[in-house]
Formats: sequence, C-alpha cells, structure tokens
Amino acid sequence: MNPRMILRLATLAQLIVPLTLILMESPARSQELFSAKMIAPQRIEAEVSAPFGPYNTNVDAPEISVFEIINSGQTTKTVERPLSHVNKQVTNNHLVVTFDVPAANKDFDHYEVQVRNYKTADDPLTFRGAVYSITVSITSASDKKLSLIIRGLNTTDWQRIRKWIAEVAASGPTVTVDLGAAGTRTLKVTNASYIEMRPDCFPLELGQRYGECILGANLALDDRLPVGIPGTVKLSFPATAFDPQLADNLPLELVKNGVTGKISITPLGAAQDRDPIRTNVIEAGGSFNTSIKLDADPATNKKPDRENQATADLRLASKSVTFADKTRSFWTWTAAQLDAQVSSGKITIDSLSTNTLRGFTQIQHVRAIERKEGIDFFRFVGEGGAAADRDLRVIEYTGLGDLRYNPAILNRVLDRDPLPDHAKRIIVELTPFGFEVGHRQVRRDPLFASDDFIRRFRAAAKLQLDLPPHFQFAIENRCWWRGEVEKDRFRNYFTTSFTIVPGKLSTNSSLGIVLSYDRGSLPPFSTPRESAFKIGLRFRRKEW
Amino acid sequence: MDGQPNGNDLTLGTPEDVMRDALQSRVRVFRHDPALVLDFDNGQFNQHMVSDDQARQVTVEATETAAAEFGKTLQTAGRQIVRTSITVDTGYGDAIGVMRQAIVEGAV
Repeated sequence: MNPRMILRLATLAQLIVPLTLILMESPARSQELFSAKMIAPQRIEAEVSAPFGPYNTNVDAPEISVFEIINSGQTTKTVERPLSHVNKQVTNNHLVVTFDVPAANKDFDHYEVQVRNYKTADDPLTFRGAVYSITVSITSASDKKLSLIIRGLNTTDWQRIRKWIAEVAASGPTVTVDLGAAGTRTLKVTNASYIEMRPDCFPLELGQRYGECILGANLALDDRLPVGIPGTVKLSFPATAFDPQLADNLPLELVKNGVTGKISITPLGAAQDRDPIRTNVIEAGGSFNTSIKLDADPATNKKPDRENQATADLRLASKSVTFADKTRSFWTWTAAQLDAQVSSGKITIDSLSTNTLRGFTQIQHVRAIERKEGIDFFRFVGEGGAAADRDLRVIEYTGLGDLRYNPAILNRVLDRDPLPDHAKRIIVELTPFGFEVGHRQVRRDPLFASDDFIRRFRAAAKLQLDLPPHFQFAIENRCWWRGEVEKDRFRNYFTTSFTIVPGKLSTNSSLGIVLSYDRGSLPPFSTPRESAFKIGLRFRRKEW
Repeated sequence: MDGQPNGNDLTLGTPEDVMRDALQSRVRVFRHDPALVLDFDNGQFNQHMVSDDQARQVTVEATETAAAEFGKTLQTAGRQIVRTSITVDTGYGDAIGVMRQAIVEGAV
C-alpha cells in the first residue's frame, strides 16, 4: 500500500472515530489524538493523546489490538495478531503503549492498531489507524540508475538509514525488469552512487510532533535498463539486508517484500526542427525529390531540366551542456553538430542546392523574460564551423552571431483546457538580425565567382503549428545579404513542411512522414537556386 | 491540498506536496490562470505550454521554490538536471520526480 495512503487512512481513522473529541479539542491538538509507528523491527508504539486523566484511572482498561493486513491476490485480508512484551505508561497525560508483534507474513502489506474503551469526557472511544513505518519507492528507473526515495518520520535516525542503504547497495541486491511480452531481465545493483546527506522534511506547524521526511538515494546498476520499452522494475533486497547487525534495529517491515516502480518512459515527440537545447542526438531521414533549378547554368547558360532524385538527411549532435545558469539567464554549449543533406547525382545545374554539409559548434546565451502572456525567450547564438557542398568543391569556414526571439504572445497553446498530447500549439521564432563572417576555400570548379572573405547579414522567421496527435505544419524563411559577391547579393531560402506522425514510438525515438517544399539555396551558395518538392521519412533518436 | 497543513486538516503534508504546490503555482502564473489545477496523474506540460524551453523554465523556477521550502538553494547542477530531463511532453507527475532529483543531487 502506498505510504501516503497509509498516512491518509490513519488520519481518516483519527477523523471519524473520535469525532466528538475533535469537536471539543483545539484544531492543533486534534491532529495528535492517535498515532502508531514502528520504532524497531516487530515493535510498535501507539500513543493516544486525548487526555488520559481524570477519565481513565487504569492503564490496563483500554484494550489494545493489532491487525496484520495481508495481500491476497487482488484483495487483502485482515488477521489479528497477538501482542507480547506490552508496556503501558502515561506520559504527559497521554497513554503510550509499546509492544512486540510476531514476524510478518510473506505477503504483508501493513499493520493497523486499535485502542478500545478509552474514556473521555463524553463516551468511551475507539481509535484505529495504520502503523507508519519506513518505506522505499522508486522515482525513476532509466539508463544504469535507480532513483529511490526513502520515507520516514522526522523522528527517524536518518544517519542509520544512510548507512543501511549504502551497505545494502554494496551487497548487490537484484533488480528484476519485467517488460511484459518482451520478457524479463535481471540486473544487479553495484553500489549506491549517491545518498543525500540529510533528509528533506515537511516543515512542522506549531503543535505538530510528526511530519514525513524523504531522503534521496541513487543506485548504480551493472547494465542498462531497456530504453523506450514500457515495463516495471522490482528491487529485491537479500535476506541479509535485514540481519539485525546490518539493519541496525531499523523498522523495515514495509521494505522486506521489495520495491516496485516503472521504467521511465516519456515519449519523444516527432518534429521537423531541432531542439534549441540538444537532447536528441541523431536525426536521420530520406526523401524522394522532384526539383527544378531557378537559374540557368552560369557557365553554359543552359536551361535547367526537372530532376527526380533521392536525398539522405542526417543530423548529429552531442548533448548540450548548461553552465552559468542563473535561472532566468543561462548559457549552453553544444560541442559538435552536423547537418547533412546529401542527394544522389552529380552536383551540376540540376542537382539540389540544399546538397550541403555543415559541421559546427554552438554556444547560446538564453534570457527568459516573464510576460503576462507567458515567457519571452531571447537567444544570442554564436556558431563556428565549416559548410561545404556535398563534393567539397567549396568550403566556407565561418563564425556567426544571431539573435533569436520566441515571443510569448506568439508561442502559445490555442485550446483552453486540452487533453494531454492534444493541445493545438503555435510556435514562432524570429531572427531579426544576424551576421556571418569567414573565409572561403575553393578546392575545385566553383560554379560561382566570389571573394574569399565571407561577410553576410542574415535574418529569418519560423512558424510552426502543431495539430496533435498526428499533424504538424511548419513554414520558415531565411535570407542573406552577401558582401562577398558582386551581383545577386540577396539570397533566400524558403521551406514549408507538413509532418504526419503515425504515433509516438517510444521514449527514445520518433518517426514522422514529411512532405516539404523548398525554394532557394543555402550556404555556401555554391550551387544554383532550386525549387523542390520532397516526400520522405524522418527518424529521431535520443540515445544510440 | 495546498501543501500547507491547517488546524482542521488531519492529513499530514508531505515533501511531494511542497513540490506539487510549487509547480502548480508556477504554471498558474505562466498561464495567468489562478484557478488552474494540474493533473499529476495524467497531465502533461503540452496541455499548457508549447516548447521545451517553457516547460524547463517553469520547472526550474518551481524547483527553486520547493528547494527553498526545504532550506536549500538550487545550484547549476540541479538546474541542468531539469533542463536536460524535462520536455514539453513530460508528464506533471514525472516532473515531480525530476524536481526531486534536482533537489537531491543539485541543491545545497
């Protein structure tokens, strides 16, 4: 049973049973009427904080019972257990009872304690509630790591908990991975890769004695968890983990039967565009194109013919690193990125102008500004790298600087209260100003004459309309004013695409069918402009 | 619940409540909708936001608020955990786990 549920059951019992007392007591004290907690293995302390005297005179008059709730298939059964080593005393006019219970059943779920015939100003009352104890839950399971949360009361000795989890992790507990139809696997924990120094405790209000605390810990696994496949993990502790020496008298009954959790799986969305901060490291695609050049061959003045070609599209990137993060402003660095669009056929007047390769490193400074409509994002982007045509006839080594702006008023969800994955969204990015400088290296047969000193101004705008779950429409225009050429200084590249997303594949990959229309040319502008219609597939993968 | 216990509420507040409250409050401000209630079981950022940037920024700020409730200050490492883990398709329930991890591993 979920530990929060146990807390709620316990407090619900407090609420219902002694209702008359609650009405008489001050609100702060009413929270302390009854509590029961494991204080050591198989030892429970129950406390009734409704005034013991003058209504009760004998500590043996209230009847104490303990029940073990046992899982039985889809239901539970309740079995009363005998008490031993019972110690009853009155402390601060509260009845405090401690006692031992027998070893728990193998299908144990939780204990409940009942106190009957507790006299009050009005009638004798009955208290009943679940026994709170230490629990462990898995918050995330991915890659070679399990993230755990250990819960307990603020009165728990958390240094003992830290020592226990470290020693248990070193003893190599097993992790059973259940992938449903895909079968099961067994991994081993190698060590605790991280244990929080101190727990986070919910702040206590005046009059409260108990609150829940949580301590985080990460366990390292000896192999990777499956990526992109839904499934569950079960962390099973060896019997030695509960030896008195190792467990150090910690009440770990709720942990003995193991801990289950889900493999982390957030589907990766399909998209035509790259993420500004790269978490997707490979995007590959292929398309069939029909295109025609917009310019005649500069050498022969031959009129271009329509061409039908195939294009392979590959984009690779290392993951972005964030640094100097001051919440509303931060820097990111993506060490290496490659954009390649490689078409079949010779690069002549009839081949695709977007037949280009570009490798670069990118640094961004991002500023977020709160607006009434949301958050404006300003990106100051610097890139350095090389661009070339597919045959490496001409290579440009350039550095560029851009201002990219995502205005809050134009980046918004269009529906009022949409379902998850069904919100219609509009996304706009403007690049009002950018520049590019560098050096052009001619290796052979340039189609266009140009100065070797590259100097350009650039601007761009991009609009994307998401119509989930299956459609995405994007339109983008980029333009350059080129200082390195004598004529045709203005160049434009326009692209519009319609992406059909058959379904989300997994947390790690996505697939889209892309219909697009391109017009214009891209740096290094070493081939004629084109007008091309493409149909193809795009595959994205986060880890490979 | 609103995270903070009151005298008549017998339910103990938990650390998750602090993080849920922080995230819900931040999304309410982002959406300019003080009555917005997040579904932490099935809801996702893509119900209210359009980009990874927006989801990450909202979560970073909510994590800072939650960390402060625990007497901690979120560091760059914690912010990076959020910025590399959250996307617009992340569920609100999963985001609580990421916030928790950021506080555990990236706050002092």
